[in-house]
Amino acid sequence: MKRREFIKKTGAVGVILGFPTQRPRVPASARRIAVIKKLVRIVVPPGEEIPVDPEKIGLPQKIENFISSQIFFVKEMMRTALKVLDYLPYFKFKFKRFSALPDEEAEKIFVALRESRFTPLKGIYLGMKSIINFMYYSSPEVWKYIGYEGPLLKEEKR
Amino acid sequence: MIWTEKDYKKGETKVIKAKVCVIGSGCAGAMVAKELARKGVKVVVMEEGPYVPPSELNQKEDYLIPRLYRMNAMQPTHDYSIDVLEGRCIGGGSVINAADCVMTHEEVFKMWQKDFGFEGVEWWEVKQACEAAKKDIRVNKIEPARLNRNNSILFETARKLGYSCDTFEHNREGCVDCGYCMIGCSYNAKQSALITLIPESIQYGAEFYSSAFVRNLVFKNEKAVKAEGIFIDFSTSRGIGRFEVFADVFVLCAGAIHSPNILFHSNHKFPENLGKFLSLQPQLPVMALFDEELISYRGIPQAVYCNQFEEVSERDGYSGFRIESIMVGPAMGSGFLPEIGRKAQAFMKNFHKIAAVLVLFPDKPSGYLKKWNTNQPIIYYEMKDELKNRIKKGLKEATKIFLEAGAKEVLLPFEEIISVKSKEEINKIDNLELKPGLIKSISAHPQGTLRMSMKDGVVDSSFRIKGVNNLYACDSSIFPTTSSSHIMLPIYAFAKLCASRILKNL
Repeated sequence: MKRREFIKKTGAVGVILGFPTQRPRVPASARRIAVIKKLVRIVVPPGEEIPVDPEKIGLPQKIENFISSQIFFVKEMMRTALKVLDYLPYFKFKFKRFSALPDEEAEKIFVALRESRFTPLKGIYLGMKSIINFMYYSSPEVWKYIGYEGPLLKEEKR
Repeated sequence: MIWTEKDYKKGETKVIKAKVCVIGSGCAGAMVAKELARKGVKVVVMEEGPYVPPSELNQKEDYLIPRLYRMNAMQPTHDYSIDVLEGRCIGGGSVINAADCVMTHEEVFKMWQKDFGFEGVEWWEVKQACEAAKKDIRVNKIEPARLNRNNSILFETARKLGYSCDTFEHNREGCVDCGYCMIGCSYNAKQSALITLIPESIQYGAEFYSSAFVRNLVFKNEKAVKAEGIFIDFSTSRGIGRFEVFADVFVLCAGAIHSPNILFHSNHKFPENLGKFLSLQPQLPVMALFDEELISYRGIPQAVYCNQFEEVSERDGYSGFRIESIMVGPAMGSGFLPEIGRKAQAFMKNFHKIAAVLVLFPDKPSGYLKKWNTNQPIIYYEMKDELKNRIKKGLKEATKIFLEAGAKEVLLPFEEIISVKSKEEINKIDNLELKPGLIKSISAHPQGTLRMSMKDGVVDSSFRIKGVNNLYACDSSIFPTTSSSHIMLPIYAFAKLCASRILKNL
């Protein structure tokens, strides 16, 4: 078999095995949103203290948009962090993605990151926590529950 | 004129020519631009961040923080121990700072002269430049009658304990006590470069390019000949077009983290200590919960300091620690929250009853920058044992003040909830472990990566990068050690001196 023909045939087999047509691919953004939704439920859960459901105020999508608007290297770091987090349970023998875990188990995995000796994992915990808190407490729906009156400028000036 | 994104053409390479090209439009860049333009020099200023005019300063944190701060105010050190805050907008740090004006102590300057060789820079001219800068930005003292409850707590309690304590000098005029100083003043009360030096520079003919990221300088025969970079679209963070600035003189004013980064990516051999001797002057927040409503987020956010534990000497420079009141909006403040979930929310629910201080620790230079990518170097910083011991002392004193003032609970700046509810518990602070990434700390005053020193420095005492006759630096990167508790005024003063040296050599 000639070299070119060999590459063609093995390449085709690789493509068939690697990308089965029956299984539709989930867009990357949907995967990320699934991870963000899980994180949001852990970091700012609706409850008695602040009864605002972060999903109802569109927080996961706002966070995805926030990440997408970052400069290239920051955006890539954040997206990689979400990907790593999603696959992390496999390394803990959970055999489910982070986004598919029950909230309690996902919380345990997430909180454990802050004590990690591997600095980038600690960074995932601190970075994601900061972004979620930042976007959540920027939301006017939350302000009345924390005694914050919001901007002084009148709406028409903003 | 201020050029903005809408003025740039997609895919175009804009060629700009000037006598002097200033990189960065914060305190240093705006002052140099004004001083040179005033003397008829054709100046262009390239600023990486966007132009956010006063009319757009809408007091909304989620809108303004990404526009005004580098990396959304989340620029970490290598081990996530410290968030390094820097302005990245037209006006730079002067737009987002707390407007406190504290000049370098004479003892510190004398130590610099003695230890680093400052031939040609004298204390009298530094002082003179400082006084002139104070007039430029309208510095005045905060009257005690202006203090909000958060500031009064520190002011009254520290004095009751017999500690040295006072109100700051600041650069506000006609302040309405809205409390949004750290996301830009909507009322033009804070006399930032955006409303003082920059309009004046423009009046004298200087041109400012916003969203213009300088990637590197190009050298030929030991001379900087041009600055290269890209115009950035803020909404997508993608490039719009390129630019090349040709000038006789270039001045680095991009701050202690990014001035060296431009040199890292330039085709020239610089002195070996480029990017070294970084001081971050860590500031740790201590929050206290009171029974009464404090509404600390209204009023001047940082008006009072307690300098009882500050040490200044000609031998060691600036050391010890100082305690300063502070408050920010809930989104920015949430960065200091311990834990996640309901535990964090239970604390945040009392946002209106929280008082806060920052304990500021002048440090010995113990960090350095490492070349990474064109946008960002890696910031290496290690807290030495001596600093850690001082941090514990500082946290204990801040806790003591709050408990004396009647706080129900004092929350220490750690990732897990560590609180102190009585004076008997204060000593437990001695046993705390300060693990990287698990203590909450910020740096608003990075300094020292282009050290001015005739011995081991990158910049000589004529403000020139050693070995390059037409490249100057005059932002906080030139300070050999930590210059003051608040670096705006020292930067303005040194930038004024730098401009006078440039004028002599033009």
